Amino acid sequence: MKLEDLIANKAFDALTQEEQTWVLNQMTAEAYQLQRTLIVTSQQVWMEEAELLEPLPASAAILTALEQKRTAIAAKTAQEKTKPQGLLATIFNHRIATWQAVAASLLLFLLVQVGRSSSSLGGNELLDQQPVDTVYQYITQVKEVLQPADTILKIVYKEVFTPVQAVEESPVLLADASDSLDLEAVTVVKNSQFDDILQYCSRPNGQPASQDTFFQLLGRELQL
Amino acid sequence: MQAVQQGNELAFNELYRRYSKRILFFMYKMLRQDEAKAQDLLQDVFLKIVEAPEKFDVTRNFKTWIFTVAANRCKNYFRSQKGGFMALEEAPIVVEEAPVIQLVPSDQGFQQQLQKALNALPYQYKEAFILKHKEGLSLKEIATVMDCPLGTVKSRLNSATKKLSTLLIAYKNVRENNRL
Repeated sequence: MKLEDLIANKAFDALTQEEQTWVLNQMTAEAYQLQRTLIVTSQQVWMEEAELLEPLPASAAILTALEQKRTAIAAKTAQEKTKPQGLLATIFNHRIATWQAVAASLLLFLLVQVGRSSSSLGGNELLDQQPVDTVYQYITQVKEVLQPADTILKIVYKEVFTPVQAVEESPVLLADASDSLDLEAVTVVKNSQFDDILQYCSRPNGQPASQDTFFQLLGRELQL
Repeated sequence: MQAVQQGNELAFNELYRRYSKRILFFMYKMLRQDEAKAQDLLQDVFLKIVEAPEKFDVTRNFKTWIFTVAANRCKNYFRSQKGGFMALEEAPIVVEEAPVIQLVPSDQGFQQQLQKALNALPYQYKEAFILKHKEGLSLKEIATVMDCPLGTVKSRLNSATKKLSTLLIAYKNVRENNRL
């Protein structure tokens, strides 16, 4: 309930504990009671005053205006009633009883049924009908279409043997290689234990050293 | 009201019986107890209802509408007075110095003082106070009648009550002093 309604309807002492707490959060009990006294007294004063006031009867101007209004509305209604309407408006606005609508619907239904049966009797009647078998025949046509052959791209890889001069182009490597040769191996070869260093370096289980590029170079270098 | 819109005299009479007294009293208070003028304006209000009933939306509250018409009629009357009352727009919302009211204790003392104090209130305060505590309109209805926000109505009502309460305290003090 709102504060102003509480003030107007209940004295402070008549408030519940909860209402009193709520009211006291907003104003003192004295202020509440003061405002209530003011409002209640005002209402009493006004009531007494209102008893002394009596409204005059509705004036002639009001009654005349009311009469004119009624007349105008009546005239308008009459005009609408007598106003000629279009054919469609007349048809759609025409009112009939429900039983008439139902009877008309039934009559229409019967007429349609009778019309159907009479049309089936009056025309060419089907006396006999031969059964017709339908055979489905599938015709296959072969059409040859010549299409250009696909282009085949053939790639031939050619192995080119690279001459040994390529090694000579890197003298630094050879020089380094010759510099780093194992002198012990050279000594062994020179002591006639092996014909050349390739025999010395071969291993029974591995790749022959004669096929190793490095050793080929090394051997060639030693022969020189 | 729909019947009145159709020019039904019986419906109009019923409407007049129900509301004429309340509207008359409201206008009487707003016009500072000028009964003759209040009676005149009452007839104007009902004449307007008869002449232009289409202005009333039948889906709305009739009580709020008729009080709005009455309140506007009073405001228009004040505005039309040359050299009379202050124009409403120019009236101060809060009166800095309230008119001095002679507090004379008597048998009818408080009633008379209250009457004077009410008349001394700013127009909008008085309107809100009467609509609330005499006519019993809700705050929302008062906001519709006065064409202002709900918060403004609360504020005006609160200010009016405080001003009148101050008067009541002063009156009690004077009476107690006289007794002593």
